[in-house]
Amino acid sequence: MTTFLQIVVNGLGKGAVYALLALGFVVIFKATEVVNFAHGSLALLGGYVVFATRPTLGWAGAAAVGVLSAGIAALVVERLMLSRAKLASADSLALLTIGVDIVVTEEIVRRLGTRIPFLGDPYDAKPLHAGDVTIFRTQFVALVVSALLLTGFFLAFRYSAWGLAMRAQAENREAAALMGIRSWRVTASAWLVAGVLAGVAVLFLATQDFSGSGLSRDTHSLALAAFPAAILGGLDATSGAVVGGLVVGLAEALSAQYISFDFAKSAVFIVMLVVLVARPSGLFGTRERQRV
Amino acid sequence: MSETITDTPAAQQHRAAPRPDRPLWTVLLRWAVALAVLLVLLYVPLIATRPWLRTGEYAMIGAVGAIGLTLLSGQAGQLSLAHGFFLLTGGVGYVVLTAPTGRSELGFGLPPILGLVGAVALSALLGLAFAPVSGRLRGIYLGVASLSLVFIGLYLGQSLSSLAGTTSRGRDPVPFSIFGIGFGDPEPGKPVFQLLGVPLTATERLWYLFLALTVIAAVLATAAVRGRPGRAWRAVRDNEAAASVLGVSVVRAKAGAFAVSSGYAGLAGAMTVLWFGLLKPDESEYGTYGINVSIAFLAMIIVGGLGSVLGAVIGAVLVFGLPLALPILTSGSSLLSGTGGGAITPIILTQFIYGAAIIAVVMFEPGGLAAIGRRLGTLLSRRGREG
Amino acid sequence: MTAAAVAVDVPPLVVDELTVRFGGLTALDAVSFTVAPGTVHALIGPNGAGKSTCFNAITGLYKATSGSVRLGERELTRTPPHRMAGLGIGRAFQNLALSPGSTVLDNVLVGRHSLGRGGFLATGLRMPWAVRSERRHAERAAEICEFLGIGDHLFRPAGSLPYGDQKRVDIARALAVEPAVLMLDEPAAGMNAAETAEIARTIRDVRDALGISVLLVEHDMGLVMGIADRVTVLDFGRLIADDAPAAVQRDPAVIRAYLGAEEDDIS
Repeated sequence: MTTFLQIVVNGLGKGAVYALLALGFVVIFKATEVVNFAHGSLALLGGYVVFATRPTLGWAGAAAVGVLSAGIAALVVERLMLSRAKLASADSLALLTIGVDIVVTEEIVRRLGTRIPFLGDPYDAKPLHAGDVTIFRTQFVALVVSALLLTGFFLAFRYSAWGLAMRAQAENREAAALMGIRSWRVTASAWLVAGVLAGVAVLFLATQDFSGSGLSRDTHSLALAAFPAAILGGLDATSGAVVGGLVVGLAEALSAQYISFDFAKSAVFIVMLVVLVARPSGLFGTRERQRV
Repeated sequence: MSETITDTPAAQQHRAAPRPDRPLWTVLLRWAVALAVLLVLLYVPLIATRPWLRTGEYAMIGAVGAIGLTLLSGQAGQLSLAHGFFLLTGGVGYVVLTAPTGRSELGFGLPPILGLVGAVALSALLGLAFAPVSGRLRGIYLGVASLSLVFIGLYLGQSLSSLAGTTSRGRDPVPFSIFGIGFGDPEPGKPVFQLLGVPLTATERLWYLFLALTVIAAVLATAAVRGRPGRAWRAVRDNEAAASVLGVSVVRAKAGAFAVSSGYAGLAGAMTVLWFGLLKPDESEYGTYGINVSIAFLAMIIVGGLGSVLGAVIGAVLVFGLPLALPILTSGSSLLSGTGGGAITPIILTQFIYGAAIIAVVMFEPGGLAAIGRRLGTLLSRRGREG
Repeated sequence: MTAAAVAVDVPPLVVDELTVRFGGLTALDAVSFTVAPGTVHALIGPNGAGKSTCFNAITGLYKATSGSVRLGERELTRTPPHRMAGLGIGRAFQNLALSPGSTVLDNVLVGRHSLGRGGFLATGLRMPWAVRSERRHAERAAEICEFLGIGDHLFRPAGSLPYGDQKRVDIARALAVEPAVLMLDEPAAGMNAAETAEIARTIRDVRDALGISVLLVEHDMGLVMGIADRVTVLDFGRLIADDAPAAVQRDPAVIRAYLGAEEDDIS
């Protein structure tokens, strides 16, 4: 029983991190209908900045700079490339992000070379004990941090002017623009938020507790799980992203324990596949209807 | 509005099929260029060194796979990231069908040509099996769902060692042969066949085999794109509801596109194991049959121009050919030969190039190289008419 | 233009108590009317009356909650949309739904899909029967385009044509199906008076030359009154009139439905 509990907590903690990634993903999609294939590379970039500035700034400072860098990088991608591609449809822009992902990932992996740094200094490999149950501290901190961030996000999304603008643009871009909402600001801020969330997520991904692997190409693979999480929940549903993230985290943890470690990755995608076959637009996504 | 057309049986017989108004010299020029390119490609093995031949062969593998993907994603508009999976099924199919029977690893002992056809058919059938999913999902949802196939393939490859061999050792494929002509390494003692004084070793023979397969693949695809299947795919891509009311079964069109594309990928996969001389399942999702390969094929068709067969071939030359060509071109110089951390290897450089190419294509010419080629074509033909 | 390459007998299109509900909204409420063979039948009504819903229900894009649609003996309700072409329904679309990058001929040939044969292998290998079939269909498509006045544009990209010609491509594609009933969704939308008159002539020519029925949704009353043999009026999903054009014009219920519009607008 205690094992099961540990696994559930472990899974939820992982799920919280995936939720952060998935939410950023969904925020971009809601604002622009673009699927951001470069999400993993943004996380990598943020992680690399943490690694590079840690010697001089210490962990806390490096983490702050890293998170910020990821956000700024996302902003740069949007301002410099996506917004300039005037001719392109949303699908084409998604393909563009594939290009960005390739370039950024290769460059970061190249710079890392043989080094595979762990980024979770304050909490990595320091298990918590609650009676019989041993919990990875990383996962626990991740849960807390994610809960805070997600709550903050949803409050802003529902009650702030920014959130309103974002929802309006997601609903009907032209009408929102006509109402005075500057679409470029909404889009740019969506990317910024997504980058920041990815920057936070990498601080938990590149740890021993989470994956056993430090910052490397593996981190990019892990970030890939944001896809099934976001898709599962429905690409245009912010709450769906959180649910999706948690489902993915749990599926991974449970299948790693009860089936096999190798199967865990496939398990996540298979779960997603099953959900999609039953609900082609994800659990909470809105169905498209083609007009004739 | 035109007047009524007389419609005697005689008039019906003489009515010619509508033809576009292209000047004769452009048609002749196209045929001449195609013939010239073919002759050059036939002659290459007689003069090129082994590294170049290997590079060209690998590019041809990419071409076959890319043609399949451009039919699926470019013509039918179905985004798929599953290509790596179907490469795996093609490779496994060929090896299993041709391997000798009665061993610990599964084999059916079929002649290689049947193994090749079987690998294609198997991959196509598996692509067809994906139809219930492809019929229900649209756009990016389909793309990510197809990604799950790569992971399923990764897991199966690692666990079913009787099919694909272990991740450490893999399985050796039976070298291809047809009508007694072998394409593997010649047996010692036997004289090697010569063409114009040049001995045709395994590498040269593989070039001709791959060239034949690529040409067949391209010819089939081009005709289909121009005909009924291509039209149905494009109709589904551009407006599913309208296409269905006009008589196109959307489910069948998508299923067919997946089957064809998977068949092509299966062929590319069989070619891959022949080229490596080895079938080895991947250890992670980045490998010979992994996500990186799916993305590489996607890059090929984006750069080449979605839906264009020629574009797919050119894209393949860039994405698959460049990383093998660069070391040959820079050998002797220290340009790309670093191996330490942080070194720019040919693979990394190629990825930078095609990553940047994707960005450039989407930003400036979404039709890819094919569109650029078409523009040049109209420019030249206009000059030709004026001049 | 010659009679259809495939012999077409034109049965009546009978819409019987057709009801379409989306959740709580009743978009069509027990609508019944008949398109008599070889006539031009117009479906009119204020915005939101359910005309497009009716069209989509007939062609199987929307599922009918109850009621039926029959073409002669064949039941169209509960038939999947892709069988409609084979059953004799040819539809043009409100937003054209063309492939702008493909040629006019290619677009029109999509309409021949249900009449043709040949999958990937047969077409790819250029089997003689597939090539012959393709040529025959191309000839017929060219003939239809010629009849509609776009015969000169066969090999131009459909998206490069002026709007009126693109509409003709859409109609040509629907005719390529060799339908018994041609369904036109707002054929005069976006057209000026001269273009509307031309479209009206075209529709009449289609009926006269081919003897097929034409069911059209339209807002332009001039067009409707000019060429329709019969007019059905919908309002809020219900049928409020079904009669000859002149009678419908004078029907007080119809005038009330268009309340707010000047009487001149519907005369």
